[in-house]
Amino acid sequence: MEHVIETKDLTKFFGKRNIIYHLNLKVPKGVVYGFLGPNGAGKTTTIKMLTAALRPTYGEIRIFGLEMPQKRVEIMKNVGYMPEVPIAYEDMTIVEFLTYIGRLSGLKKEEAIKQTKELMRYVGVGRLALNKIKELSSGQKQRVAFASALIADPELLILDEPTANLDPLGRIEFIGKIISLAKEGKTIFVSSHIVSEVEKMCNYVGLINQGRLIAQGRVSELTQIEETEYDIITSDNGKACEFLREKPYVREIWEEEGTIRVQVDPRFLDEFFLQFPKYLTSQGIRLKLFRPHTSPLERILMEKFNIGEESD
Amino acid sequence: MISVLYQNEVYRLLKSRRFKVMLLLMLLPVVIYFFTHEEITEYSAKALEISFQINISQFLINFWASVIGQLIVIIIMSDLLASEIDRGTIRLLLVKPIKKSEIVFGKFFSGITTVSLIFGIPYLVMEIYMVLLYKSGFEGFTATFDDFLYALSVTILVLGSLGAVSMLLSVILSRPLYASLASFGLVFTAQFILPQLPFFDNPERFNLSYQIGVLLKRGFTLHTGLDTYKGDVTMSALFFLSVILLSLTFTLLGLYRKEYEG
Ligand SMILES: Nc1ncnc2c1ncn2[C@@H]1O[C@H](COP(=O)(O)OP(=O)(O)OP(=O)(O)O)[C@@H](O)[C@H]1O
Ligand SMILES: [Mg+2]
Repeated sequence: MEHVIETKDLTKFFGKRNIIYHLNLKVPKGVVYGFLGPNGAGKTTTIKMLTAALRPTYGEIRIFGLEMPQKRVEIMKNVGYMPEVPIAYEDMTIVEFLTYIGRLSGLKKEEAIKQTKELMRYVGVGRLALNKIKELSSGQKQRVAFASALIADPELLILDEPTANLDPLGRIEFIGKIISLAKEGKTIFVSSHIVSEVEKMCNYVGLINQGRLIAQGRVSELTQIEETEYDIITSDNGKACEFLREKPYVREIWEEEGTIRVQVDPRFLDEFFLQFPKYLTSQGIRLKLFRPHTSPLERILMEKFNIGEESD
Repeated sequence: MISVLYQNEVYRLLKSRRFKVMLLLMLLPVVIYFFTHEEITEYSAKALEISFQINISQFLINFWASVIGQLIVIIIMSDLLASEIDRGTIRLLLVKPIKKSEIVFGKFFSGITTVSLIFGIPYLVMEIYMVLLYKSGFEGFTATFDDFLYALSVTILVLGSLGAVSMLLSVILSRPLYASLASFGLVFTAQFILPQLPFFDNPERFNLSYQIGVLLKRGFTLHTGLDTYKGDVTMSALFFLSVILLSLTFTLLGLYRKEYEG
């Protein structure tokens, strides 16, 4: 088995509307795969097909090399799933719910109870253990859903916008957890439309727009495009600006709230990188910040999604 | 896995307010009997058994398995799967290593267990009360216990088939309420309209209560009044059994065909 998830020409129609077109996902073992796309791109629809809630109109799905949905029962022994909108038995308490889900995942009663206790603490709902699910806030529900995905210690996690309702600190914690789960060797398939989050936790991405997979691959490989626009802060912005303004390879330069934004002719990037630091050193100017103006992933997105073009 | 689902479902049903209300309602005949029972002239196990068979048959045909009992079964059984589909929680089950057939059977048997309690408890209370009334002690209890079991089995067979049909409708319609309404519609059409049609002889046999009479006849031999219920016991039993099996099969097929947007 080369890929944990592999789809072949996965296609979905809702009535006559074609929502997913010939999707060929390839999710290698052990990666954190960011499934990135704008609202309505078809992320949730794809995930629902991966989790047997929707039937593909045509195409194949293989998970762990097994065919879905024919081998659903076998596959699901090793899958943890978190839906976009948390679903749960609202009348159960958190403990009851997680224990039940644990038991359905094949755990023995004692194991399920032990896992439940640990996970409630892990996701930060320990103090709410005896509250009914319907009494929880949406963020708390999402935490419970995350715990329920982890309960049987699955090899593959399929998470549909897992951070949507989390508070800022919760998001940071969550990203940390995903990274450490990946270190344990789990494969994680996570959908999102927040680029910065995907950048922090994913090492593999699939970009989807209007039901089509636009790019797929290792983040480090996809983002090997030279940047041409940089944000710069120095201890003497005035002098630095003066220097750059005279250079022919600087296409545009302006200062905004103490940050210099410079656009460099891509043909002369080498000169820029050699001359600018040398000048700063010679003048005793200290460099405080130097970074590409857009993050690499964002840039790919903008290129591939033709941002600004109204799409329907 | 099926046992986990079954246990959870039974626990949930028994905890619900619906269950308690229905149980109280089904205890009503016992109360009626308490105030109106016949004068007892002979205190013996034999007399007890005759009276038990007569009374249980009457209450079963006129109350327990009548419209009210049918309503109870329909309400319980059409909620089992439809509420999961309606609320989307079925998706939680689909991402677990549990077969769809286990879901259908687990749900069906948890419903049947609940129905058995809702009807069985009143039957048992009735039995114990009559044993006390006839002062026939343990001997009387054992004499009537097989009658109790027989009455309960007949109830479960007939109402269980009704329940299986409402479960099937609930999967097709995905909403507990619609499924209940559809089941009422179906059952009452069959029971009240079919007999009106001219080309059936002996039309009252389309009534579930009537079929209860037919089925009871085989086991309740001391109650000669049941002879008015004409019909082949084996045929009736086979009919209800096959309704259950067919409905469950189609429910399973429905579950395979369905998509869950939730
Ligand atoms: N049941 C349905 N019937 C018809 N169209 C649907 C259905 N479900 C989704 N769609 C359509 O499919 C498209 C993709 O929806 P989907 O929920 O997969 O998007 P998404 O990528 O998850 O978006 P978001 O980021 O908002 O969650 C949308 O245009 C939506 O209108
Ligand atoms: Mg979505």
